[in-house]
Amino acid sequence: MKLSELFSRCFLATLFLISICFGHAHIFIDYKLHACVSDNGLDGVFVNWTFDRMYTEFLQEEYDKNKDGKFDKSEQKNVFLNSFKECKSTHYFAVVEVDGNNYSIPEPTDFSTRILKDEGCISYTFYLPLKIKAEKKQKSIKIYFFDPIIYVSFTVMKDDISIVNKSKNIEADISLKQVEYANHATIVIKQRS
Amino acid sequence: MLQLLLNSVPDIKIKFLIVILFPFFVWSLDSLSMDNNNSQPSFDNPFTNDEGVEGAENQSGEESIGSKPTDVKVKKPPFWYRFFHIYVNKWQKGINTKISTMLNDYREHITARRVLFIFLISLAYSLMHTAGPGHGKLILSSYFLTGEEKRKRRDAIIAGSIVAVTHTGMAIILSLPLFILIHSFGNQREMAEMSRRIGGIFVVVTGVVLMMVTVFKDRIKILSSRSDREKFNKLSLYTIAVLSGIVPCPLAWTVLVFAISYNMHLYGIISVLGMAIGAAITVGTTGFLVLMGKETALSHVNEEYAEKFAYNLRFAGGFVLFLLGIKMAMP
Repeated sequence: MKLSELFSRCFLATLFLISICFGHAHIFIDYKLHACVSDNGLDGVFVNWTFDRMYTEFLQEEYDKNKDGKFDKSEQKNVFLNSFKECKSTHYFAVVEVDGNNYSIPEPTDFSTRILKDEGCISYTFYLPLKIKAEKKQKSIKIYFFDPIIYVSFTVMKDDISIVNKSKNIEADISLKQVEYANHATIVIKQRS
Repeated sequence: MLQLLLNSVPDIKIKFLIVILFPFFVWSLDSLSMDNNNSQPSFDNPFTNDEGVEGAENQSGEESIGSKPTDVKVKKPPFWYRFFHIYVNKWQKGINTKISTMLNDYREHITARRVLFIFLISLAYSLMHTAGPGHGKLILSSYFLTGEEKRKRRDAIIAGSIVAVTHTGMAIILSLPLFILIHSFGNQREMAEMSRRIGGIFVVVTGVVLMMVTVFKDRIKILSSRSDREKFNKLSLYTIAVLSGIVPCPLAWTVLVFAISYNMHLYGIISVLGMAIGAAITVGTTGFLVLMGKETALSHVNEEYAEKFAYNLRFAGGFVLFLLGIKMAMP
């Protein structure tokens, strides 16, 4: 094999390797989900994002103006308007699929943020009022967070998902499934006959 | 209530209607109140007892209609990438946590071994990180396709180093004053955005200039001599390399902010230095391989078509630079 051919093959191989090494995350978020089921069906999910320590420092420098190690109401509002609301264009990185069909993401409510003393990380909490009705036929609802350009990387673990069912008329369950690029929570709801 | 209604109406037909419709009226009132109760269930937030931020309620003031079917498709990564993502991501996350933990643990005693360890782990992290999208690889690769004069392979190394130094250097330049003039300094994201857009405008101009040089090379008198063309090549190489790296590296920036906020300036600088060298290796290697690829491709084309092929490659390189510049300059 000529040297030039060897180089051209190396070149193609490197291009391929570069394209598969697409992982380019700058921010790492561990998230938790708590699904809430009412008489109508899945009312919504409480979501908790916990940022990595490095990005926490970044956020703290930017928003903890009085440097007291916690966010007061005005600082929280600043985080909400200038950091969290910026995610609106990406639908807060949330993906909801009902029986394989993509669903829109409603505006989150009840946003709050805090600095976790033990972990030294910042967390955001909010509620996604999904309001997906239960029917006699079982519905399978997939929920996960994912940034397609991988600037933000989301992780969820098995112990980080939970469900509360306040209805006697509805059967509901939650489980975590691993797919190739993002773990997702699957909530199954069905009206009792 | 029914008695009151019947007494207030004199007509016997209307009284009859009221008696018939009253049960439905009561039922509808009841069901309406049930709906209201159902639409506002009270669920406890398991993650916090804090109240929500004022203004974080539904901005429209209307009750949320919830999630509905939509045609908007979720962007998914290419299929070959999906398999690797979880592992690559896990690896990167692990190193990120490791660097932050080490910076925190090592702050008490600075030793040569610890400094070397932080340098090496930062270098390894940067090698992987810079292989991802951005960091000027595409801009530089497009640039190396342009130019009639044969580009030297060492240019790729020089360009890679300039990109890395500018990319991480901008992070240092923008971070350090932040801590000196913390309150008078602007928003970091806005500054990064601004530098990206300004850089984009210059990349557009460079792309147009390179396309014009390709098309009108015979008419440009100042590039008539070989030495002039070499000077132009060097100047455009440095310009494009600086422009490729002008957007401050968010990773270096974050590491530096973290290190400085924990009073570990030396470790922060060492870590960023490792990242700069890692970035230089990845970006330089990409440019180097593009040059190899170009030379190999041209050597496989018949002489008759080589000139035309090289012309098209040069023009395409300028055009891609032009498009990349527009993308950078766009909000």
